[in-house]
Amino acid sequence: MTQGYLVYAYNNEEIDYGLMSIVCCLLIKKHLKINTTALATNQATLDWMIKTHGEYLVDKAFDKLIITHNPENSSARLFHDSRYTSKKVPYYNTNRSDSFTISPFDETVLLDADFLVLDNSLDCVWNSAEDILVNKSVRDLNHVENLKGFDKRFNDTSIPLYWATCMYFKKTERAKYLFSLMKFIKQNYRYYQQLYKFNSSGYFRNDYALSIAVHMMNAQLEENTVKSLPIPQLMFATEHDDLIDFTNGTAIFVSEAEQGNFKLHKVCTNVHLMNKWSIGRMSQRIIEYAIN
Amino acid sequence: MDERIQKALEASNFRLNLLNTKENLRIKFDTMITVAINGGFFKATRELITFVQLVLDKGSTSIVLIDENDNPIEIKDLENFLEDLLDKYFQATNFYNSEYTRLKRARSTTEQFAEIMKEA
Repeated sequence: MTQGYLVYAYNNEEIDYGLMSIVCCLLIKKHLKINTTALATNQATLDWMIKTHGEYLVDKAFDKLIITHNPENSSARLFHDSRYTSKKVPYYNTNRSDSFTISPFDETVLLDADFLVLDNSLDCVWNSAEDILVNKSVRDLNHVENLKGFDKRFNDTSIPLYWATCMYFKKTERAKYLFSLMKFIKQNYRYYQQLYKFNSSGYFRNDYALSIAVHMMNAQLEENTVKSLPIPQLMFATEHDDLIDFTNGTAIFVSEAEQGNFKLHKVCTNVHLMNKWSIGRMSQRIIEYAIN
Repeated sequence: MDERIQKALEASNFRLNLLNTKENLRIKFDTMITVAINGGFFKATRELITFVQLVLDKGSTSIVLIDENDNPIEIKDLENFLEDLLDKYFQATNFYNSEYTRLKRARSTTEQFAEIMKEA
């Protein structure tokens, strides 16, 4: 039985997803007992990673490299770096639905590249009695759960949201159906947008496809058939938050929920960072910590 | 701004920061007390520890427990499981206590920040 982590990284002209995946996988290796990693990427991103960050780090971070074509359905997405800067760049990371076939493992934890593994709770997922485990809710650094665009449902009368940021699956028929459905939803995204009445973000969202797929697999019922990861709530830092320090496995963030209202956060549990540039700024420190 | 209002706002901001940091500690504690066994996962709570001890005291060595995801999980070596629970519980509570004690010392956001940076 093979077990490991699958991370995707497709660079665009502004955001170095390759670097984020190196950071993510080195932290996996630092904090987790089962720490085999696989990276799904394209040749251009891999060449960039080797050229910019060196072959040593790439070898150290990834046990398996899976070269794919550029994902289809890429679209422009607005990314924020704190409250004060934003850029519209192409968003390629849309091929999560291929994970069932891409993953080289019998049991996989699928992770976003911008996910910092700072605790060992993911060690608990292996050999699970369930074949799929996901997060059912999120909370930001201020521990607020219902946020604009990140609510628990698409809307007040719609289905619950599930989060594709961190996802455990086994290679079973049920998981295969889930990913097939996600793929189908991706191909017919505009139809499902009308059917489930969610606001378009202007780009394909894996979380939405997952939520709809789970709902369809549950025979359109809201039963609790897809279970939670060991820590059911996914903690995330919004695009307005900045990672200002990283020392000894502890991340220090400054959040600014409203302009001028700064708050300090010390985080030593897993956290998903929406501000991609903030990972880049702190990457050297995280990498030094992870490889020593 | 009136000095009294400014001081009150500073204090309120400090309280919010403190609450956030405490909540982060509680989440860390929660991750530390998670125990995986036979495909299920459990929280090493006082209730579970006491229940497992009770079952052992009654002379049983195995049991079926309902895990955090409501799955029935058979545990054959109950004594070993109790050891794991206790181990996780003590590690987590000791960590929680030491971090919490440090945090309590701070009297302002600046002090709190200094304390956090010192720990980090």
